[in-house]
Amino acid sequence: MRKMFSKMLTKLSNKVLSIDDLDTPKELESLLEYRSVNLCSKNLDDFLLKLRKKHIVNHIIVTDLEGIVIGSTEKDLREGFKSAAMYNYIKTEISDLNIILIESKGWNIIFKNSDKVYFIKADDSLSRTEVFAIVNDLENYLKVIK
Amino acid sequence: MSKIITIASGKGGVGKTTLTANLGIALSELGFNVLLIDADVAMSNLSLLIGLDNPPITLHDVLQGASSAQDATYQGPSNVMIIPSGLSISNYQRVDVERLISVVKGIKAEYDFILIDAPAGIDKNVISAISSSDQVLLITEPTSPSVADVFKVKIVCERLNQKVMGVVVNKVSNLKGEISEKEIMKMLEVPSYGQIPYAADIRESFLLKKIQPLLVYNPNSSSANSFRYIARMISGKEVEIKQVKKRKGFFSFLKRLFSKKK
Repeated sequence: MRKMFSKMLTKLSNKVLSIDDLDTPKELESLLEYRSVNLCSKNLDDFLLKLRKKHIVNHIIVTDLEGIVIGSTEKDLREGFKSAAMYNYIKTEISDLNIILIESKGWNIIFKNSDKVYFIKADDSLSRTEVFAIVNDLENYLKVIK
Repeated sequence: MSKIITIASGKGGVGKTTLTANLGIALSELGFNVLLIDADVAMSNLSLLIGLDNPPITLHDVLQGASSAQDATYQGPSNVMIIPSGLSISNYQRVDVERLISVVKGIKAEYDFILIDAPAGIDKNVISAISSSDQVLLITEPTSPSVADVFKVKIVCERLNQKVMGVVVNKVSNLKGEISEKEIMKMLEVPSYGQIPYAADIRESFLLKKIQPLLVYNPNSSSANSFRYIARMISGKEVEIKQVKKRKGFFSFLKRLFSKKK
């Protein structure tokens, strides 16, 4: 009874203040889940899952330069192991590179001037801008948890 | 300090180019140094609307690294400056759109406002246009398909950590079934920067032998003034920006009611 009364009064107050109780059109409902993904997380794996949702990509893996996985949304970690060999090869050929970005079979592999390697898998090819937006989010998080 | 604003909508034909051109002229009338960039490298229209005939150097040349941004800058109506995009299809294929970010960074200090006319869609070209700016101004028609598309652009902005400053509702004719400005603000969770009516003179300005922006064709019309209103808001000359109203309960209503009476 009290709940009903409170509901009625809330509706009335909204009407008086002309605040509409609007419904989202059906065609937009599926998009709502991508809105404002909260990246607050308790650990790196949890963060990667949220980051994957925010950037609408399939998988994100972070390894160190030896290929040892630090965090991942993917069970198959072979890509992580291959990274060290690839990085070492490129570095021996061209030693003064700050950023190396490789795109291969849906994977974007980024070696930035740090001690981490970032792997991002997406169905569609990502632009460099999108890849770096993901890496920036990752680096900001890693800085905080350091 | 200069402000770089990308105007984006997702859906085509919503009025991005019309808003960019007229907003640029309106800001220029207020005394600001304004540069318009046509980032629609595939389907450029801004130069036609501004009245530039076949500019020899365009954004295509700048993005290929063949020319500087200054070489591709031309003067338009009311002293507004413009970097047009090229019309050539073969040139377009050689363009590196992601270079736009560094191009804009390089000329930022020369202007008070840089308005970037984004292409339709949410592909690489749009992402580059969005990433080149400080803020994004969305534009939509008051219809479901248009609002759905502008919603997707907002999601892209969030992915890129870009700030959406607000939304402009264009082609408003107050017909039954149109999504209201208030509903659009609530769905997108951004403030409104105003509405532009569905007016005959905007359409007429496109049908002239030489197309003209509305602020040149019919500067004293009410639709021209709606562009000026948006310009005043953006430049900080108008303070009233409609914010998204949060739904509040009965007790907060009572609290506000009594605080009003004090």
